[in-house]
Amino acid sequence: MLLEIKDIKKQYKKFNLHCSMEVMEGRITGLIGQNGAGKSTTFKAILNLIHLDGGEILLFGKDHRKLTTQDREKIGVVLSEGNFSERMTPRECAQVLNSLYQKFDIQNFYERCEKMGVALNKQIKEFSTGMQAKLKILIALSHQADFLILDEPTAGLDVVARGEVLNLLREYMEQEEERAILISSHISSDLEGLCDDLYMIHQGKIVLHEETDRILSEYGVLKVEEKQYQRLEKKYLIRVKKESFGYCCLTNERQFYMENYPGIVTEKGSIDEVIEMMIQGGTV
Amino acid sequence: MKGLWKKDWYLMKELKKTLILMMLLVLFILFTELNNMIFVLNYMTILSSMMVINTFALDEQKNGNAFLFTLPFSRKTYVTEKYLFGMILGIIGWGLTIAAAFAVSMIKQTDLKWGNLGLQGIVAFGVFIVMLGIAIPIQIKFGAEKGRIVLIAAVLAVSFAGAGIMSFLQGEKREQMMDQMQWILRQKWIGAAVGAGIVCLFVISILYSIHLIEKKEY
Amino acid sequence: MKILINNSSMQPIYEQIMDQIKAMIVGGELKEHDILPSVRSLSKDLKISALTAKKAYDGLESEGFIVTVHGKGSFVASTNQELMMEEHRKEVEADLELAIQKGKRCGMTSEELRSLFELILEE
Repeated sequence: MLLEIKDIKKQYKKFNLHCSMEVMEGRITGLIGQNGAGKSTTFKAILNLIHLDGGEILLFGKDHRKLTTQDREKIGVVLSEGNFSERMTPRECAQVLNSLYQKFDIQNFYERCEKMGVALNKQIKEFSTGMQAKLKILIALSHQADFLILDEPTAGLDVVARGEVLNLLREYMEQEEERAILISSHISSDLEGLCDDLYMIHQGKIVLHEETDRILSEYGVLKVEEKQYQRLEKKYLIRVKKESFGYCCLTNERQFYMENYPGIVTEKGSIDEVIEMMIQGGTV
Repeated sequence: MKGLWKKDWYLMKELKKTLILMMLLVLFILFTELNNMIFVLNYMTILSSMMVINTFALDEQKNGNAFLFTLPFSRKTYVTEKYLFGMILGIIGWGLTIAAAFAVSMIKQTDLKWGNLGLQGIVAFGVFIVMLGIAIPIQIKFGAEKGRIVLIAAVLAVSFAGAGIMSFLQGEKREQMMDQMQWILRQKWIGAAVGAGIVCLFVISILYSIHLIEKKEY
Repeated sequence: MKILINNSSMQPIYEQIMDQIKAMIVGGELKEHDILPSVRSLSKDLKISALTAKKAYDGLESEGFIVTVHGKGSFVASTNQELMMEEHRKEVEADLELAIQKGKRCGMTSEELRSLFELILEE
């Protein structure tokens, strides 16, 4: 296990974080949730930027507060906010990184910047949001890390650039089997085609943890009228929501309902729908 | 450490113009009034060492600190580097001013009182170390915005006190005072005691700064 | 290797992959001992989770179409004539089923269907 978050707690005036998570080697794990759901707080906790009120975090099997410099070289980070000073240029950032990381590949970094259209000699403050986001990703990818911790890396990017960035991440995973990524986003389509494992967070709590594959192939949303609902087997329903036409039900066994109730409308569970149902629906 | 060092150096880049302007100002003052060495020396040394405070502010902008502290160095290293960087900047300013004073006295063919200059140099050095030791923890504790205000207040208070004492001691009294001070400082044990005190303060300041930064959340 | 994924299909993605790889093996496009892309690179190319790709490979392996050698990758298994026939038979069965369903939907009786079937067979 690369990362274990065990029952951590962090209290703010209007927000409580209380969650557990795991990231395994070889996996891309996604954390999805609305703005303010606790994604960034979780990331800051992992990176020891905030102090916990309870629980523990193990990174590379060690207490996350006791990482050595060598351990830190093994992670690559994108924060939703925070980068090198805006006064610096990417070329200067590269010089700094080159001194900080043993495995920093400066030539490769320059080439990638060029390919992505990131100007090397311009101050960061002159960059567009999208360009800054690209630079952040390239920095995280620049030093052959074993584990990427990426908080909203695609924020501010247009559809095409998002695709480019996601492909960089896929390439990164392809290079070595033991690598892993923890990535957050509020855009489900980013994570749907990328992550192996998904956590959904809402108001500081994990509301669902499931393999992406299972969500896409086994979860479904049933749309039923009052009468149909009455005689429906409820064993495999996770959430139910009252609608004008009757009920919307979230199931993790859509095959069962498709076979046994051929008359009812069954939809494939998209991640967005699953989240919506998990948050708004009630338990059966 | 080397990476941090480079980073701060790049951050200073835009301040280099200010530094050159300051040097010109110093030369001007030295030309008109070479005897005002103590003021110029203190001013230059403190001002150049305080540029490190600017790098704190730049690190902090747009949540930059959060990102910096994910890079492979400890918060302790970060603080230590700032102290070293401030000291080196101060020493550069200090050295340049003394060199300038020396150059001006050569050009104007006036005799510098070397004894005085040496003494003033030592005093200025001590003062800047103390200033650095005060400014850095203030900066860490209060952050860039509030820190600057607190710092300016502290500097103003010290300057007013200093100016007050200086204006109280006028003319001959000042000379007398200088002589007395020289005499005091010639008593090696006092010099040593003051020196040791400053070193102690500096070490405490570093330890306190490390403590502050490790408690901080980003 | 060209695989097309239909994300809005009700058929699970791993099944879609399995079907298409099987079709390639049965159709001779993929030959015995041909190497298949790694799980990660398949997942990259198709923009799907690696676990989905793995599930497809595991399925193909358990049905005997491919062999996975740890550390080397996945290969097309030695062509098994019986397995091939079985696959072909399944496809024909599925096609016939479709035709019968279609006939029933527009009101043809079993008898009518049977005679139509005989007729086509004799042609």
